[in-house]
Amino acid sequence: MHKLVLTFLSIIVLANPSSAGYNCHQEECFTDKAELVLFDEEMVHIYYNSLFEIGKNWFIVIWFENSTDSSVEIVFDFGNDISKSLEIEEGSSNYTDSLSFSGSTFNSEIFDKELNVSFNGNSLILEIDINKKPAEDMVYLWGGMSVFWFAIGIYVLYLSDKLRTLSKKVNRNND
Amino acid sequence: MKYFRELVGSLGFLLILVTIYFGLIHVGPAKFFTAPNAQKLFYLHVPSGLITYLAFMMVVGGSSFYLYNKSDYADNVAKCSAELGLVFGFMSLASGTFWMKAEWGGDIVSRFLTDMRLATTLAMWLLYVAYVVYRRQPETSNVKKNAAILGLSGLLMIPLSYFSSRFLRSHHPVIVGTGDQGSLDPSLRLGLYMGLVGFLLLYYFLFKLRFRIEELEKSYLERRMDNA
Repeated sequence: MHKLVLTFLSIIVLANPSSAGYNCHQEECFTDKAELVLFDEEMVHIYYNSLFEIGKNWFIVIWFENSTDSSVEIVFDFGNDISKSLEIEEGSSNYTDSLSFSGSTFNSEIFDKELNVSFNGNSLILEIDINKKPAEDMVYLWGGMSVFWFAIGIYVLYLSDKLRTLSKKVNRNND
Repeated sequence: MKYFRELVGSLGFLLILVTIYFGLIHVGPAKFFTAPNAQKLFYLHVPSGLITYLAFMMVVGGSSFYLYNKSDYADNVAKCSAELGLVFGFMSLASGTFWMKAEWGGDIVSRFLTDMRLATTLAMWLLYVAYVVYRRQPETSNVKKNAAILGLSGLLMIPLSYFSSRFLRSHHPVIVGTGDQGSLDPSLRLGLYMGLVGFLLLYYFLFKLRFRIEELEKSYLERRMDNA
């Protein structure tokens, strides 16, 4: 019985797409694509998302559809020593690989951050937006701050209403 | 000075805006907090809490004087200040609830039931809700006397609330009046003092306005009685 429960729980955890380690590397999971022409007709397809969300690992998938006579190193460089590289070995054919940048690589929002992709002396620039999601506690800050204006506003309205009613009464009494 | 009250009120309002700018934009992200953005509530939450104590102490003072020499002036002070205590108390309790939810998490109701600072402050506030509700009836000398006795219960509730986080079970941090106040980051201290002065000026403005309305109301009622 215990084994059955444990097995069932394990299946739930493993099947949960939000479990750590789940990352979609399929072509349809990436919003952008770039192509490099390595040699004469040899193409490397690069799949990536032009939005880098801080806190989440950012992936690049490459697909080399032909075969190569010599090894090729592809370097992905954001500048400031933030770079990673992939090597396509000699004789590789229909080769797929991926690399990732940690979600903590950046800590502030940057638009059109240039990612320099270089290979055998050639280079290509991809523009990536580094996005910082709104902090979860912002809603509490807004809520808390609203309280002050709400309370002061309501009380001032109450006072002005009281004063207006009183003035009317006094005027009526004087008449 | 003709517009002194309005000038003080505007100055207080301006100072609160400066405090908000200072807290939200000038000072960088808060360190050592689970919810660094919600921590910005500190600059208004603490001053509004302190002004709440001041307002309720004014109720205690006014009530004592009324019981001592039947001074209508003292009774008015107590009545007007109780209302303001409710307004500032609401600000402090509500903003504290938002901050608490972000920083500590958990169930709000059980926090209010188990944390002594929260429980005693809410009890103090509810006591003065009862005071204000009680005063919404024709003001006979008996009503004033009973209200003054109710107002005096702050003698117990104010210190109980203020010192509860020092001597009773509470997660609420203690800063003001302790050694930690001196070790506060200078930016926190400056923001705190600016917020405090801003709320103090706003309290003065609202109190004077409320007091003036109360006086007008009483003189109107007296005139009507004379005419009748």
